[in-house]
Formats: sequence, C-alpha cells, structure tokens
Amino acid sequence: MNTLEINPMEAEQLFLFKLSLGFVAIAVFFVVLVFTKRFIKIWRDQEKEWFLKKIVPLIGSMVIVKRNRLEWRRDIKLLVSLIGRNHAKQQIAIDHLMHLKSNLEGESAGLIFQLYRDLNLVEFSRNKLRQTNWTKQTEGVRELASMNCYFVNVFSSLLQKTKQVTLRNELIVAMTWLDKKEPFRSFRLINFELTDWLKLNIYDQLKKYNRVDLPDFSPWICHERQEVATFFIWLAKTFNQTSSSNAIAHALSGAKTVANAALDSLIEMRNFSYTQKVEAMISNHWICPDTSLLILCYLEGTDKNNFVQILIDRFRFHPYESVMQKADRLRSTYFEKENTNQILATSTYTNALHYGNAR
Amino acid sequence: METHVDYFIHLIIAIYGGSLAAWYLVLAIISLIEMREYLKKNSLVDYNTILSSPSAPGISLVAPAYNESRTIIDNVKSLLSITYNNFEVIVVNDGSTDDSIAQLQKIFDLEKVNEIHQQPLATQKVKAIYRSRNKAFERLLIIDKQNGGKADALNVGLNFASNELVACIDVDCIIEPDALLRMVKPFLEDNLVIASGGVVRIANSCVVEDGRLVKVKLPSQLLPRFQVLEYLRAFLLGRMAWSKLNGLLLISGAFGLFKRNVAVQCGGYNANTVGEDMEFVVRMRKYMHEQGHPYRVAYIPDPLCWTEVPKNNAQFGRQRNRWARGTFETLWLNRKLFFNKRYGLMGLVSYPFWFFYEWLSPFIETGGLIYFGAMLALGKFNWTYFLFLFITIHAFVFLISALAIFAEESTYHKYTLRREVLKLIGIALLEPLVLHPRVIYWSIRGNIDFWRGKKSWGEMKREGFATTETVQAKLSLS
Repeated sequence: MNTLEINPMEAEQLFLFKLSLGFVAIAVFFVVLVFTKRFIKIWRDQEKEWFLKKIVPLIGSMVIVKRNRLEWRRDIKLLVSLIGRNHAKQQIAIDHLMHLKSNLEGESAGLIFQLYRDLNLVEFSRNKLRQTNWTKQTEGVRELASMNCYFVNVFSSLLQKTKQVTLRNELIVAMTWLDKKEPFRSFRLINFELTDWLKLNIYDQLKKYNRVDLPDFSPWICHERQEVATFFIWLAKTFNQTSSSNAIAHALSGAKTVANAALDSLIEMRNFSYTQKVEAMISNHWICPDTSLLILCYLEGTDKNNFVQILIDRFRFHPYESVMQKADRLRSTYFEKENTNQILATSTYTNALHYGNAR
Repeated sequence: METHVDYFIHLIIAIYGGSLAAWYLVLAIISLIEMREYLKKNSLVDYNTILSSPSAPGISLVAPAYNESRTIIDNVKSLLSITYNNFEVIVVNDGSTDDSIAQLQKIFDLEKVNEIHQQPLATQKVKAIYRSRNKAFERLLIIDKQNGGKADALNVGLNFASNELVACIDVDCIIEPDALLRMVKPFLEDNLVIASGGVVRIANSCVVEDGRLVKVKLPSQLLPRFQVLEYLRAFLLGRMAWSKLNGLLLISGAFGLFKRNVAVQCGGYNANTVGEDMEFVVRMRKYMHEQGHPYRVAYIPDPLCWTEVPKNNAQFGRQRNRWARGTFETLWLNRKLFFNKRYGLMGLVSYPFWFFYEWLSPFIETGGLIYFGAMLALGKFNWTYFLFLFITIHAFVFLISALAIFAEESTYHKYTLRREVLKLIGIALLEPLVLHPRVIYWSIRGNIDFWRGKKSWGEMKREGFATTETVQAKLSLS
C-alpha cells in the first residue's frame, strides 16, 4: 500500500473525529449562548428596574395629583429627558402606562392617555405598524388599542394586507372596541376564519361597552356565512339585545345550525311571540333531534299543547339519548298534565320518563 | 471476508447512527423555531379572556388514584383550586387498599349519591359515587370502583365526565394554576384539535405549598437530576417538533386534554396495556384517519405539570421497564400503521421513527456492544475506531442536551441560579456514561418481560413534595 494513501478505516476515523469536534464546537457555542443570554437578561432586568424606579413615582403623581398646565409641562419635560429616544425605555414606559390604564378608570385613565400622547409614544407605537415584523405590528396594535388610539385607515389597510393570523385577530379585536362607528368593519373588509378564540376575544371587547352603546347585531345575523350569523345570534342572546329579535326570528328559516341558534336565543330571551315561525319549522326540522328538542322547549313557553302531542309521536324514533333529554323536559313541564300523561303512558316514553323521574 | 463483514457492520452503524443524529437534529431545530413562534404568538395573550367568557368549553378533570392516601388530600385541593370557570374534578379511586376514601370522606364531607350516568365504555364495577355536602366542593365528584388499573379508572372518568373536554391527569402531579387556560387555547383556535398535551417537569426538591409549586429547584439527588435533562430533551426538543408536523404519538399520561366524544368513540383507554397514554393517542389518531376526519394533536411548550420522578435505582428500573413494555405494546397493537400511507405522516414517519429510533435503539446499541465484545475476544478489537465512535456519540448526545438547556434557558428560564445551569451542563456530560446504560438495560428487560407476559405496573412509592417548613427544617438540621 502506498504510504500516502489513507485506508478507508483511517478515513472513517478521521471523519468521526471531525464530526465529534463539530458536535462539541456547536454544543460549546450553545453553552456560551446560554450564559450570554442569562447575562443579558439579568442586565436588562436591572436596567428596567433602575429606570422604573425613576419614572414610576413621577407618572404616579402625574396621574393622581392634579397639576396645572405649567407643572404638567415641566414633568413631561423631565420624563422626556429620562426616556430620551431610547426604544427600550420607551417600551418600558408604554408597558407601565398600559399596566396603569388597565387598573384605572375615569379622569386618571384620561390622564394616562394624555401622558401617552405628550410623551410622543403614540408615534412610537404607530411606527411599529410600519415595520415588517408581525410581532412588532401586533404589539403596536395592542398598545394603540389599549390607549384608545384609532387610525381607521391604517388599521383597515393593515387588516386587508396581512396574512398573519395573530396580527389579523389583534386588529379585528381592536377594531371591535375602537371603531365606534362600525365595530364590525373587519367582517365587511375581509373573509376570515371565525375561531372560538376570536369569538371569545370579540365578546370580551363588547363587554366593555355600556348596554345602551352596544352595536346593533341585527345586520350580521343575516350574514351569508353561517358561522358569522350564529355568532351574532349568540351575542344577541348573551347581551339580551331584544332589538335584534326580528332578525333572529328571520333566521329561523335559515340553515339548520343558524335556525337552532336562533331558536335557542329566542328561548333564552323568553321571546315567545314567533310561534308561527317555529311551527313552520316542524315540517322541515322535526327529524333532527337537536332542533326538535329546541322546538319543544320553545313551545313550552307558549300555550300550544297540541303541538307537543304531535312532536311526541315524532320523537319516538329519535336516538335514545335524545329521547332521554326530551323525557326530562317533558317531565318537568307536562308530566303533571293528565292529557300528556296519557299519551306518554302508551308510548315508548314510559321508560324514559321513569328514568327522568329517577334523576 | 472479515474485512467485508467489518465494513458491513460499520456501514450499518454509519447509516443508523447518521440517520438518528440527523432526525434528532432536525427535530431539535424545528422545536426551537416552533417554540420561538409559540412564545411570540402568545406573548400578548390574556388568558383571563377565557376565564370570563360564558362560551369557554367545560372541562372535566379526571384523576385516577391508587393508594395515594399520603398525598391525595393536597392533590385534590390543588386540582380544585385550578383557575378555570367551568370545570369539574372527578377523582376515581381505583380500588385502593389504603384509607384514601376515608380521608377524602372526612376532609371533603362526602356523601354517597345515586346518580345514573350513561356508560359507553365498559369498565370494572363502580362501587359508589360521592359528592360533597359542602357547597365549596360542589365541583368534586369521587368515584369508588373495583381495581382495574389506571386505564380502566380513566375510562370510568370518561364515562362520568359531563363536559366536552376531558383532562386526564395523574393525581400526584402538581398542575400549574393556569394550566387549563393554556391547554384549552389550541381547541379554541382550531376546531380540528382533538387532543393537546403540555410539558411535564420534575418536581423533586421543588418547594410546594398548599398544592402549589412555589419554588423551582434542581433535584438534589443525582438520579432525578439526570431525568431533568431527559425530560427537557424529550418535551422541549422532541414533542414540539412532532406537534408541528402533526405526527405526535404521545401525550404524557401525567397531563393531557382530549375531546370527550372522540375519546369515547375510539373506545377509550386500553385497560390491557401498561403504556395506555401512548396507545390511546395512537388509537384516537387512527380512528380519525379511518373515519376520514381531518384532525390535529396539539402540543404546548409551557411547563404546566410537575411530577415526582423515581429517586432510586429500583423504582427507576420499574418505571423504565414499564415504559419499554408500553412502547412495544403500542407499536405491536398498531402494527398495521407501519409504513402504511393510508395513515399519512403517522404511518409513514411517526410510527417508523418510534419503531427504529425509540424501540429498536436499545437493541442496536446492545448489538454494537456485543460486536465490539466479540472483536475483543477474538483479538481483533479496533481501539481507535471504538474510541472515535464513542467520542462522536458522546459529543452528539452532549450537543442535544446543550440544545435542550438552551431551549429551557431562552424560553421559560425555570432554573434561575447559575449553579443550577452549571450542574445541568455537568449532568449532560455524565449522562451518557451513567444513566444511559441503565436506560438501555431496563428497556431490554422491559421487552423481555413483555414477551414473558408481564402486565404489572410496579408501584412507585411517593414521598410527597417538599414544603417550605420541611426545607427550613432540613436547613436548620444541617
């Protein structure tokens, strides 16, 4: 064998050696990174603590103790000199203001907004919307929203442009609260997936409204997308918006899920003035166990015993579990009534009712 | 001829080792990216929104208990104090022979009730159902049943659960107060989610007050400390990536949240296996595939559940033996998934990964050692090659551990003291030499026991968590 040639075994060993060196080098790099990150984190925390110690008492007194114009300007100048153009300090100041705003109401909350504006932090947050990083954009939206700053065109165009779900949701939620003229503008502007998470957040924003200022849900109850329609029916029910009743009643003739939601809402809102429409549902929806139960519940609130009798015959072929639920419902409402009792005694409901009684 | 055999074996080592390393590295990188995304996405989330919403889904917490009288009261209190609006706690006493039920009765003022529930899953007989007379504990339901194992107890919980989501947990775990709020979010964000799991962390040496974890500490004993690293690697680097790929096959039995209707429809937990958690997730996925329903199994990297791990060799061995049997049982019971394209990524990637790199790896490693042993006996042992191979493997394992420590440090930063991180790094260097051989040994023993028909769980004696008082007492003694 030529001495200059490396045999395959040696080549393999050399490869393994290089590989292990590579692994160790990367591992050491990450270990160094761990400590560097730790060091930076500790340093940042200390800086933040030091800075907060400087601004918190001043901001606190500005918000609580009333100042005249001159005093206000003097303190603003002092704060501006402390914050400077340092982004990290601007961010700490915003975070602190947001924290205060979430705990304060009335005049003090208004002063926080004034502080936010006078410290030119509105622009700082707005600048974030112009960045390409969606995390920064989302942060900007959140900051502006929590300080009640609304730029309809900026928000709308960002909403139409972005494909990032978190940012889009943030915009939709923010607009629900900020856009007093058209809170559900986002539903008009784009088509998006209305997830439970988004619904929950929209509801959370609507909770902040005074009852009388709540937006009208009616136009959205007739929305072509079933998920949107059912969501607004649910909102009308939850906020007991009686002015939406007509729209809800109209939805009774819609698709099954929408009709079910509408029926459920009318029951919850104790609005039993749409009996005719509900009766009309029987011919289309009696076969569906969920809907038939809701129809039954609705008719409980009216005086339509003859329909109950019709329904009972039809329910007979529904799944056992559904029969059980209806038996419970019937027991609580009609069991005492002789005529209903007679019908039940001859039907397959007898067992179910016994079960219902046992419960 | 001999040289050819050598080359062939070296080739197998190279292919197997290389592919394994590549997989682990890819999974680690995906996990790190995913975790970063997750944290970015959730940095502004206010979980209280869920708390105050009337539309938040109801959750039934199912906690099976077997001879847990030492810790059961604290644990139930901890479960009852979870931050969530619409939940119930179902404790299923799986025929305990200790005084668990008596203690529960006394502390929670329980009375027997006659309730009829539909029971879609077949289980051992339910002896009694208890509810508290005290309104403060109205969320609590205690079910006393004949012993049938953890899976059977979980099935009873599934039968009695009245909510659409069911959280299956180990009663001896410490659950973070906001765990349910975080776990439920994937279900709210995506209707297709059928199950979600979270990170399980090690609570040995941590300080616990009133069922709440108040101080995180690195375990003082070596064996649990090794396991901290193992858990970090498995939970932070492995499962996050599998979830991203929608190929996650395992949600830890310690804490998982499931859609009740899917869980029941697929037949619930399999009471005949010791690896019921993995088998359950695989079967749920299989069911969804077979029904043609799109679905997703989610995973969140937040540390939500803290558990006590074995601190002595015997307990550790029993646990790993059971895990090995459970893995093999699950793979065996679902063998039709193997490279079956009908099951998508689960059949083509996840299952084969588990087969080749989780189940087979102890055998390959042992085979390698036997080969080197034989070479040594024949006087053909190549020390240099062995040494280089050993160093390469060791370096790789250290790299993965360093990545796991980095992932923990840059995300949740639970080990706040610098010396704890230094200890973890030291552990990362020692682990392949000290712990790994034991893991291999117990895995092989587990597989042998499986073929011998062993079905037992093997008891793990809980010592209870450290409280501030016990820590102070220890300090004053020392």
